Amino acid sequence: MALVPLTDKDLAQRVVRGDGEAFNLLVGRWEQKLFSYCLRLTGDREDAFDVCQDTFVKAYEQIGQLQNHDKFSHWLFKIARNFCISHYREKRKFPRQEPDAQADDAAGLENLLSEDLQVRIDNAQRFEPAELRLIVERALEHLSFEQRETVVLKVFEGLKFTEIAEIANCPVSTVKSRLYLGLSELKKFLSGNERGAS
Amino acid sequence: MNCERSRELFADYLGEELARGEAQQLQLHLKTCQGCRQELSLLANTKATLKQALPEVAIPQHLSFNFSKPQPQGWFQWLRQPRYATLVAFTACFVICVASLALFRAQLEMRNGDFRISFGDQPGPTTTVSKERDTSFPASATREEVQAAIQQAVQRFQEDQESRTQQELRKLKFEVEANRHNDMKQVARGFKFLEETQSLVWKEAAKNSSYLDTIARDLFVKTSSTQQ
Repeated sequence: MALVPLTDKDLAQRVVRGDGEAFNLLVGRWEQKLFSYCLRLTGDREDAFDVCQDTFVKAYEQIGQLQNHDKFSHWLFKIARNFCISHYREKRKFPRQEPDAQADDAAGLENLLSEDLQVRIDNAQRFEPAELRLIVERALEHLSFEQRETVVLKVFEGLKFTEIAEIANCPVSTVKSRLYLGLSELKKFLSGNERGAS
Repeated sequence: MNCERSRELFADYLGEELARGEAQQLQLHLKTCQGCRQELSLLANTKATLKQALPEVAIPQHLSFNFSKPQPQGWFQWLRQPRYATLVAFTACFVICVASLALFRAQLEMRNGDFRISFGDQPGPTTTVSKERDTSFPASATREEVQAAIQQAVQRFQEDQESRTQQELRKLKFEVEANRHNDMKQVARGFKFLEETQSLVWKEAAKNSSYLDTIARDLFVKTSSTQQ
């Protein structure tokens, strides 16, 4: 007899009935994707992990209000998105202090790169992975939150435009526009034709 | 297709959601438009760079939540609620006090504003009554005195019986009188009804006789006319 894997809907319904282990299964299923999403939006591992935890706690508290259990993952991303927005606003309110240039190699590299972040895309292959990661992370920080979110959900998470529109609570045309503008900004920033918006 | 329309389709292309027909149209345009081709190429390259630069980072620690099972809610759980705690405490104290007093056979007494409490067996009111009887019939009473007392008691009993009998008789007499009165009323009503009936019979007889007279007269008139 073949075992049929439980869908998110089945697990969510079990959670509503009080099955805590079902929720842990959902957590195990989505924690990695959610963490990656949060990391790319916040740009910080600790913040991403905190947001991840808060998201799952809130999801457990409010799963009774979820009407369509099929869309559990979208709903989860939506909660995480709200936490990331709060985080983004706090970060703008209290900007992160740049680390001391002598603190460590990574910080030094970041400072070095911040002086000249106009990198030609053609030269991307020549950079070390760590360098390239810092460059792209810095480039992503120059996007608006909505553009960054759209780029992350589309490029990294591979969601459809309709799914992104549902998470971001906006029309599909807006999502397409944000993706195009976001990639154009990144292209400008990375190719060095002109400095990205700051 | 012009450049403006083709750039509208760039997002669909980059999002890998371009329909087949639109893809063909875009392809045709890109063959002829170097600017759009270069633009789309750079955007696709940017996308590839992003994916290459930011590989998926493993979550530092797997999340797991502990769900303790809820405590079974027994009927006595409401006792634990703070609002009932004082009430429960007072009730428990009261029960303990009463039980202690009962256990040590305490006697509570309030006399002239003086509160007294004593423990152990105390003579009850029954004993007092027996004492009173002892006073009325002292152990030293003579036979004559006892006989006289018995005679008095018998006399009292007889008097009592007599008075009760008199009462019963009076009661019965009154009932008999009431019944006789009712019977008389019934008889009077019967006579009255008889009189009325008799008068009706007489009236009807008089009417009948007058009718008979009329009929006889008519017959007489008719027969005499026919003879003539």
